[in-house]
Amino acid sequence: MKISDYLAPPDAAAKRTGPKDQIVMSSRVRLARNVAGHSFPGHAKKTERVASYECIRPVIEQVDQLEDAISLSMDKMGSLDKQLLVERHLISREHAAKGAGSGVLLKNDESVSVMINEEDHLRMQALLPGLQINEAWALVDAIDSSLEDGLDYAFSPTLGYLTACPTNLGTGIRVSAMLHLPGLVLSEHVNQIVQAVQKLGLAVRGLYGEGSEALGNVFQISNQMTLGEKEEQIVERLNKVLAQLIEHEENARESLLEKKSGRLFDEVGRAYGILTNAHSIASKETMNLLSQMRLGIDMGFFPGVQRTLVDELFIKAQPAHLQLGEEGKLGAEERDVARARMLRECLSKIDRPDTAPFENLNDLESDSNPESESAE
Amino acid sequence: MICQSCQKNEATVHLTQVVAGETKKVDLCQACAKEKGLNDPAGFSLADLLMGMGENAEPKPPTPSISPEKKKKRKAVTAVCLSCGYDEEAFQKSGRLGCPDCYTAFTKKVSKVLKSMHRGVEHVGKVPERLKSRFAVADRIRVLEQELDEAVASENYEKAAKCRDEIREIKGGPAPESALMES
Repeated sequence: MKISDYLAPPDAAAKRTGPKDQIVMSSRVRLARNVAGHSFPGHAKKTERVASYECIRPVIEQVDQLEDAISLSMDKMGSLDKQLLVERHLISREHAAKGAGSGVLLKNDESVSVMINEEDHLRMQALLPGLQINEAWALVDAIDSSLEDGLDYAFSPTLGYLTACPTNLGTGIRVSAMLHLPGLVLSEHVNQIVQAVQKLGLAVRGLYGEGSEALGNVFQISNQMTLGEKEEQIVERLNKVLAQLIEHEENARESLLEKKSGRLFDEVGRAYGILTNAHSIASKETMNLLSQMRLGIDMGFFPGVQRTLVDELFIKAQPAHLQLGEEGKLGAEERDVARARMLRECLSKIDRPDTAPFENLNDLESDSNPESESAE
Repeated sequence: MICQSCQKNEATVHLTQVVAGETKKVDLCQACAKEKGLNDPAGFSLADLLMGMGENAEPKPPTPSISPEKKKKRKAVTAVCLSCGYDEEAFQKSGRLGCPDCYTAFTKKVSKVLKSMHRGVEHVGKVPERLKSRFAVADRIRVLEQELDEAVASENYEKAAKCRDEIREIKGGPAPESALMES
């Protein structure tokens, strides 16, 4: 079975919506679990890894909640298929590099995926659109409880669930949310906010997790500490921080419109201009411009246009998705050309941003951008 | 103040990091600080630092797999997990463990690392359903033993005797007449 046929097409995937998804693009809770009596995947020899995979896989396939899931071995997947799953945030980049003795189970609606023999024997995640941390926790918690009967989890009464890396020890939980924060970036408050969040013991990362940069103004916020607290406390802390971040982003957008509307119109207008007219465009530039466009839609500059259109393009513009409709693999330059063509086509019916209704809100004369003017 | 890493030189580099509202401090001598790459304060994290610390801070626990002759060469001695063959040195290098049993094999090193990494050092979250009753008992015993210690320390022998009896009862032994502990 082709992965691309199993996954929902990008337009359908983008239409999955949730509360506060203007800012919170998705919520995720993942649990790390290991099985007693087996070495962790990173230390296990290939034969051991295959053995533990064969012992774990049938148990997971039997779980009620994963009845409709597809079960895939990493060695039976092509690199493009693996990359597709990475781009949908269903497996990690590290897992995509795995071969025999590793696998993944995916629920058809992409709400649940279970990686077998990634860094730990089990990495199960619930991924939901919008702000749904509590729901995601409930979902993955239930699956974990169902697995308890069939698997002898490595568990210590004092240290909790034992994991390959001590950073995941205890609850093995990682609660995270993907946030779109163009307002805070544009108003140059984002560094302050990031620092404040880090002081609370939370991690701030880019679009693809550890070590990745914040492309397209998308930031991933997650807990770092997993031991010494209940799962519910960790979930609650993240919820509190997210509520604050949402408020800050909303305020930043409002004050941009009040105080720096010229800059805002300029950014959105340029993004539209390039996206609808470019004939070769790299992935990074695309993400950043789509982010401005998404902001423009949220601000009401594109009447009648849904945010889901940009979210669909976010998915489609990524390398593996881009190559889906193409014959064979494309080189980087060919991808840039194909990406620009796809964007021009998808945006051909979208009118240029209409900022007129917002322009008389305040005096634009006093809002000139001194930096760009003095630079000329 | 003595360097926490080499335990020899005077500590001249003092670092403080606030993690989750809690202040963590490290004091190092110039040489150790340099060795740990502390010239760049931006790229520094206490957790990383403490991970690689303490090689010389305390003697390694003896390991059954290493012969007595080798033991003399202190530096080469490293604890090995009997279940999977992973050793402590590899743990210190990679920050990862070989198998669930490594947590028992390298318990000292691990607990040292945990302090700087997490909000607490004991698990208080979810427990697998079928282990719950077993751990509930173990938990109760732990609490009682702690109460017993405190009672003895404060010379509250009446309470101490009560705790002792309850521990025995849980463990399944007969509760004896409380006659002990008179001093």
